[in-house]
Formats: sequence, structure tokens, C-alpha cells
Amino acid sequence: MCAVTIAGAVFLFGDSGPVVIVGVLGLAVLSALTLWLLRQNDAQIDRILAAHKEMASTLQSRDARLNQKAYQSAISKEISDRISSSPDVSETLEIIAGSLGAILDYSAVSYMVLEKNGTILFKCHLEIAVNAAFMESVKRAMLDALKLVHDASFKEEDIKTAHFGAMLDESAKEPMRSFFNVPMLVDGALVGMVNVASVKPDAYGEADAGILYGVVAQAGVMTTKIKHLIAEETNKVNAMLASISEGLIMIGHEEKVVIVNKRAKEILDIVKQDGEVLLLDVIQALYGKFDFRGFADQVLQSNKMEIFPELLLQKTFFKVIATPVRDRTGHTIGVVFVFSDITKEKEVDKMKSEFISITSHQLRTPLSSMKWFLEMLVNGDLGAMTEKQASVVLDIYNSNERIIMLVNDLLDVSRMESGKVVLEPTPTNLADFIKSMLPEVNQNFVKRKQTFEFVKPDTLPRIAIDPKLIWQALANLLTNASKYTPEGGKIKLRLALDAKNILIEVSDNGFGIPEFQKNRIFEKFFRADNTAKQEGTGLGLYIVKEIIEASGGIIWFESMEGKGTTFSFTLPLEGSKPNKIV
Amino acid sequence: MEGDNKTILIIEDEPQQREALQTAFERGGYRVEVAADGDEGLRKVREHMPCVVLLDLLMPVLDGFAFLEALNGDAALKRIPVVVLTNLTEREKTKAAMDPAKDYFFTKTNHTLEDIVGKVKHVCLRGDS
Repeated sequence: MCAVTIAGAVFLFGDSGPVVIVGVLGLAVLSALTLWLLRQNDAQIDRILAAHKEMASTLQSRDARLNQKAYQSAISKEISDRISSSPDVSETLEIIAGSLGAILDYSAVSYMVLEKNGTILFKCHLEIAVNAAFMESVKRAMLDALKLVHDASFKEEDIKTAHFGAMLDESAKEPMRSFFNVPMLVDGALVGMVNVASVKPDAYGEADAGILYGVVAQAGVMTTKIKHLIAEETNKVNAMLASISEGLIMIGHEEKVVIVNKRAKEILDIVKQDGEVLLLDVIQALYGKFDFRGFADQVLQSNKMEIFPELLLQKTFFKVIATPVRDRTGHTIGVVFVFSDITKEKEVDKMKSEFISITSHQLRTPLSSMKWFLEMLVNGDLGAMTEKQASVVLDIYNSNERIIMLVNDLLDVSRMESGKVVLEPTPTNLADFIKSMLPEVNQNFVKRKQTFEFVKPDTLPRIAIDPKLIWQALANLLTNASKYTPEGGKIKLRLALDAKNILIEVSDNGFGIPEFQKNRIFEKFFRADNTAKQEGTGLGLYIVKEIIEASGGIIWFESMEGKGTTFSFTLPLEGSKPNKIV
Repeated sequence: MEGDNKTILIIEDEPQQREALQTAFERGGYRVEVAADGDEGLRKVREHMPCVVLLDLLMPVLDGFAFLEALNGDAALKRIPVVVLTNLTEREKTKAAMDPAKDYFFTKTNHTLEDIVGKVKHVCLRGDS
């Protein structure tokens, strides 16, 4: 902007034309001035027009820059979306070549990828029909450029050529008149090249090459990053897979073995140093022992973890856990099999069972001798004793019985916990069966002068239960009821029927269970505070609960301290399942 | 007398238990033969043809499992009922060698002598009919 002062008026010339500030002026001066001003304005308009043109061009190039930026970020996003799982140069270049039309004019866009095995993949997208010579020129131009940055020379047979888009047409005579190449580097090494070629002369300037260079360079950086990231993750996973003691196999799409670790190969005795392990190898290694494919199908169908509890391979026991693998959208993309060696656990389990079996036998031998001799003494079979002696011997007999009870309970618990108790359901008329067994517990009631009542419906359907186990549970509840009810108390056994179950209830008007200890009553070795005077191991109710639950029923109780207790359990009309307890 | 002078055979390697059982059964009116292992037991079964055999399982020379197999595999002896009397917990394993139609399984600690004598009485009576 400039300022001219003429006779007290100030003329300011700005970009947008003259601005006149009129001060105190004579009219004569004014008319002369107008003429001059008009001349001045002509020159000014020219300058303004030029400025406009320049501004438009600036705006245009800014538009172009914005365009280019938008293009670059769109391309980056697409590349990252599509190659996030593997840094595939070919795919990256394909994306770039396929999208270049948005910012450049060309007759053909091509790319070359240097493959690991020394061959070159050459792909040419034709925008217009050209002849073979045109495509050959593109190839030559690219190979010449490759030779400049890559030492090795390429033989014709190493190049795999493919073209897409418009047809090759020998009637098209236009030769390649202009082109430029942009190399792609990943991790500092040349991996490929993009070529843009045109039949027009001087079609491309430095700016055009710059745009493509930017895009390819950015793709190279991204591919490098992904490659590093994947390499790092792969190393982590490989280190973990190699160091775990479990065998691990993953089956992916099209039944391909995606992962098989060293331990898995050892377990399956698959000897393949570098060769790819196939599904067939795995199936054959397990043939006759484990239906690998069937189990995989089962997991894919149920879409949840499945466990094969015991598989014997080369004198070793394995547990097989198969888990479906899902991608980020939740689709199942494969199944992971983990083979865990459980030989030691099985040995320990066997040792534990043997230990318990032998110990209890060894304990029971002297206990049974004592029981029988004490019985003879108590019965006077070995001669008369004084009243005092007889009373002491009876005490010894009862103490011996307590040890026997404890050994029996411990044995039951250990058998239940190791799954050694087998449930053998047989169709049973529960009421008749219970009635036949009642004399076994009746002596308790007689001894403690308690009244006992047995209430049952007229008819009950037969149900499949293991009568011996159910009686063990019921006898335990009845003995408890007698034990924890004062002399002269009342005990009631009631059977009832609902839509799905037979209900069995044992109620007493005894001591009851203290409120604060109710939640612990089924715990192992737990005895309520108000039972200290009575004999007991604290295992009875635990065993009862195990038996009832293994039989498909549930058990619960209601109790009020000082008023009495009712234990109730159900047995399903559909019967118990003949599996092992626990 | 209860036992009616019938012969029973007790096969038990533990002397005290053998003695206790013998005393109880003699008192019950039985003629009692004893053996300290399965081998001696087999000989005495053939010799005396008892109405019932009381059999321990864990014994030297020939154990109770082998005795059961030999007895139940012998046409001349297989009708003789056996009352397995043991403190072993392997009921399942024992059952395999037993003939459920005539043989019984008792855990020693869980039965008084009176019990055992009473059960054997029934077994003996049934064998007669």
C-alpha cells in the first residue's frame, strides 16, 4: 500500500483499490484531480487483476494440497485396515495403484514386487488400450530403475507379468512418452516400485512424482512398523510356545495347522524338522486314540471349551483342552488344543488312594480284634466281671466304636473326593426299602426313649436310586436326629411327593442349630457348639450332602435353637444317573 | 444248639481274629475248622465240606481273591457259600470274584460277632434247603 498526499487530501491505495479521504479541498482542484485519478485507476485495475489471478492460483494449489492430504490419509487408512495381519507389500502397492486415479492422469499404473525367492511380480493396470510395446517400455523403465538401486540383475524368466484393466491392443500405436518411478522401502530395503506412465509427452512434473513419493514412503513406513510389531509379537508368542510344558496345536481356516509347538510335536511324535505340519499328520499320530477332527468339530459346533479328560500316548497321560479362537468380531476362526501331561497327578492320586486304603485296613485290623474281644467281655462270654469292670469295658467298647466310625467316615470322604464311590441306581420302592432298614436305627430311639413316627403317602412311584447310599445318608440323618434330641423327644420321618421329586424329611424337637453356625453345617469336620457332649466326627452331614447331590437331589434344613431341626432332601423321580460321585 | 453241630471253615491269617471268631462260633454250636491262608483253606474245604466258609482277603500264600476263584471255579466246591469278612475297602474288586447268588461281603469293623454268627446261621440254613 502507498500513500500520496495532494493538497490536503490523502489517497490511500490498497489491494482492493483507492480509498479516498477528502479533507478541506477547493472544487477546482477536484476536477483536475479526477482526470488523474482515472488514469491512475487503469493501472490499478491491472494490478488488482494480477493479484486476483495469483490468489486464485494460490487457492487452487491449496485445494490440491488439501486434496492430496485427504487422499494420503484415506490411502493410509485403507492400507492399515487391509494389511494389519501381515505386512504384505504386494497388497499395499495394489491399494496405492488402484487409487491413484483420484489424483493423477495416466495411461498405465504398474508396480513391481521383489519376492523373497528372487522372482519379481510385475502388475500393470491399463487405463487405456495400449500395445504390448507400451507395456514392455514400462517394464524396461522399471527394471532399469531397479538395477540402479538393486545390485542383482534380473532374468526375464524370473519376472511374473500380469496386466489388468483395458485390453492390450496392437492397433493402438501410441508409445510411452512420459513416466516416473517411485521406489518402496520397507525396513530400509527396496521391496518394490510403482510406475506411472502416459502416452502424452511431458505429462508429469516434479510435483506429481512428489505426491506419489509421499504416499509410497508413508506406506513403507507403516508396513515397516507393522512388520516390526508382528515380528515382536511373533517372537513373544514363539518364546512362550517353546517354553511351556504343554503341547499346543491351533487349527485355523480350511483345517490348516496354524500353530504347533515343539512339545506338541514331541507328544505326537511328529518328526518334521522344517516341513509344515499338516492336519493329516496330527490325525494320524492320534489315530485310534483320539478323534482329533471330530473333537475340533464338536468345539466349533458348541463354540465353547471342551475337555477330553484322559488320553494315553506313549505311556503318558494327557488331558486335552480345546478352545475356540475368535477374531475381533466374535467369529470363530479356529480351535486351540492344549495337551497337558497329567501322569504325575494320576500317580499322586493313585498313591493317595492306596495310602488311604492301606492305612484304613491297617487301622481296622486291630480295631476289629478289639471290637470282638470287648464284645465277648461285655457279653460275659469270658466270665463274669464286677459292675465297675463291666462299666469300664463298655466305655472302652464305645470308644473303640468311635474310632471305627471315624475311620469309616474318613474313608467315605476320601472315596467320594477321589470319585471312587460308584453310584448304582436300581429301581426302588423307597417306602418299603426304608421300612425294611428302619430296625437298624430304631435301637437309637429305644435307647433314648424317643418316639419315632414314619409318615408316608399310600403309594409312591419306584425310582432309580442307589439304595445303599441313600440309606447311608438317611440313617445318618436319623441317627443325628436321635443324638441331638433329648431323651423322651420326638423324631419324625416323612415322605412326600411333588411333580418332579420325592421329598424326604427328618424332623426332631431337639437342640437345634445355633443361628450363627447354620451356614457351616455341611462343612467337613464342622460341629456346632452345642453338640460337644455328643460323639461325632463332623463328617456325617458332609457325606450326606455329597450322596444326595450325587444322586441328583438337593438337601436343606430349617432349625431353631432349642426347638428342633428339620432336614429335607429330594430325590428326582427321573432317577439318579449312574455316574461316579463327585 | 443253634449251629446244630454243622461244620464251618474260618480262613484268617490274624491269630487273634481267628481265635475270636472260633470262640464265637463254637459257642454258637458249630464245629469250627480253621486255616491260616487260602491254600490251607482249599485243602480243608475239600476235606470237611463245610456248610459255609468265612474268608479273609489279605493273606499270605494264597489270598482270598485267589481262593474265591479256585472255589467258584471248582464244580465240586462252587455251591459252598462264602462270607467274605475283611477290612479291605475294595468292595468292587472283591465282588468280581464273588458269586452274588450265594456269597456275602462284610466289613469286620462294622459287625459284632453276634451279627456275624446270626448271618452265617441263615446262610447255613439256606445251603441245606
